[in-house]
Amino acid sequence: MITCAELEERVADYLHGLPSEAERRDLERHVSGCGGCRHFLAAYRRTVWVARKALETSSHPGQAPERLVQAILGSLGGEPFCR
Amino acid sequence: MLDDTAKGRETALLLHLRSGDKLATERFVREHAGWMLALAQRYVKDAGLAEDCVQEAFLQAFRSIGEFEGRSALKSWLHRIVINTALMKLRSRRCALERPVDDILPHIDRECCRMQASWADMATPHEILERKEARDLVVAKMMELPDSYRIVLLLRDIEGMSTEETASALGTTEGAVKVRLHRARAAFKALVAPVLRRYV
Repeated sequence: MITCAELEERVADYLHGLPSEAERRDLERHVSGCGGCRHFLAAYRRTVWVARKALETSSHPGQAPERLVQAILGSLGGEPFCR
Repeated sequence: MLDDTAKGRETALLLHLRSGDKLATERFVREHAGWMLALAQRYVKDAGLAEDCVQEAFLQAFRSIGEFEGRSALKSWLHRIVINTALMKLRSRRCALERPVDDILPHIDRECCRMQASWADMATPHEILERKEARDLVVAKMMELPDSYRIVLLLRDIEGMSTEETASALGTTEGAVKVRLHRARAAFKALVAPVLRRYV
């Protein structure tokens, strides 16, 4: 059985899918019997979710400034593919 | 994943871009520069530096467009180029002073990984994050994280890179990525919780 400290160490891998099924089962067994780690995991998940959600929904970018577009087109103009 | 129609459109576009079609190039730049700029800014923060990233990313993309094999969508390919360009920019100014995370979060100590249960028990922030004002505040808090923490959070949690890929992108070890990610999430949570509580 893994310890709380080991769970904390491996929590990122756990959320992103551990390489082995045995490891995942080991972690889940620990979490099912440890209230502290259950809370910890829930908090961790929520943090990741909030970060994703905020960036996903706030990134409706507008147009790039015309100055930048012109600078890009200008620099691409010198490239062989744009002649 | 692109469907067949979208794939066909991309193939046609690629032909135009590779042949140097100026009109197609301009349309392509206008279509993608906006989101690329927003993406670069998440990484480098500085608006001017983000513009440099986008310009360099386009240059790189066009230089290697002949080698683009179409295994991923063109947009995903550009996305990756922007991130790599931004990481290179950050690496080159790594010597710049960076506040350690403890400076902005003095209460974070060895127990930092034990986030308070209140966060998990808080009313669902789904509705809260529907508000643009709240989202902007959350993003602003993320931008307060020191570069080294914010970048790990972005690469792992937002881009979904593996620990190994993140370590390789940052030129560090997997162990260092894990530790930093752990602290970055704890720091982010500590910064964001008060913001979200305002809306509960």
